[in-house]
Amino acid sequence: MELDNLKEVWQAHAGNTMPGIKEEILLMLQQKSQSPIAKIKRNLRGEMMVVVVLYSASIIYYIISNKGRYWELALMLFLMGVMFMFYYYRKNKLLKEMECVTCEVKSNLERQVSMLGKYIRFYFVAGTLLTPVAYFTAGLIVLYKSPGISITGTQFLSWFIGIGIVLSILVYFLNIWYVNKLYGRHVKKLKELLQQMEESDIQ
Amino acid sequence: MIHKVCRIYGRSETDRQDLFQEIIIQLWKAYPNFRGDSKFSTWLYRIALNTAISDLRKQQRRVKMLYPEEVPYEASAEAMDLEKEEQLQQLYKAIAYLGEIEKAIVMLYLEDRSYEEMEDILGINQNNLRVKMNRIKEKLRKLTKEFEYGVG
Repeated sequence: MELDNLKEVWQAHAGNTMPGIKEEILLMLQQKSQSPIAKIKRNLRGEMMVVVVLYSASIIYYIISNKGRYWELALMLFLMGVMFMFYYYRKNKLLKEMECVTCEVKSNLERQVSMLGKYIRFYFVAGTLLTPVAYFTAGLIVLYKSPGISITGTQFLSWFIGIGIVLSILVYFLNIWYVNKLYGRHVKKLKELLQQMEESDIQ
Repeated sequence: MIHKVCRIYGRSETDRQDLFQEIIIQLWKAYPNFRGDSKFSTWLYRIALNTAISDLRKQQRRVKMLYPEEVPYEASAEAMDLEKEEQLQQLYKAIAYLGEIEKAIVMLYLEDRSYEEMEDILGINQNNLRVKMNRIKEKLRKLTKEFEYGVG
């Protein structure tokens, strides 16, 4: 089979067995994009809504319950909520910059690899830091405000710090596994595609 | 053109329809920003190929399959003679075995795009494209021979 001889045959065939009529295309335009990035954006919005609802409810709870005895926890949750908003804003910004469908295919792939790398690093660092910060802050507030518990006892303090460290290490490895599960194959495939584009430079 | 991209990158009718829909959505979203800096065809090919190539979720599923569920059948076959139709089927069958980037190159080549425009669309320099194209031709030759002798 000589490719050049097939050009004419190729061009003569319309390749059209799929929807093409106006109504069907209009219907398609009403659908949501199923691209990986569009899906991540939708998941991010969903996650943000869950955080807003849960944090708001928790803040209200800590303000009302026990006559506001643990108002510092409400304040901590509020500050964490603000940090979460920044976190979502940054992630959304990275996602917006991640894809350029009107760019050259190679530069689009390079952009995706680079932005996805930044996205994953940010996701990983934020996710790993959040747990120990929340644990130690909330723990200290509760312990400080609870009568009858002495935080100055050496044994208690060792347990408190020990659990915090173990938790942080667990979260660190859990995050490595989770990030790899979520994006590992995607990044690998993108890099493979880039490699395919650059192959003849190497050989 | 969009239909051809979908036929090359989609392994099943559902795949092809999903991809077609995705390309239409991307074109619709990008059109207001089209400033005419590049040729309309270049712009169109970039969107179609970027969408098809970046659609990794489907590709991962496709990798598991060695051969397309069905080789695209030309609906308007009446207009084509049988031999040409067979050649086209063989071509699609062989293209299905190429890598994602090779598929894009061969499609643009068959569409008779110049190497200059191919560079504009793909971002691979013309010399590299020529080298790749020669390799692809060789690969396709081997593949069709294998099909002929029933190896594939």
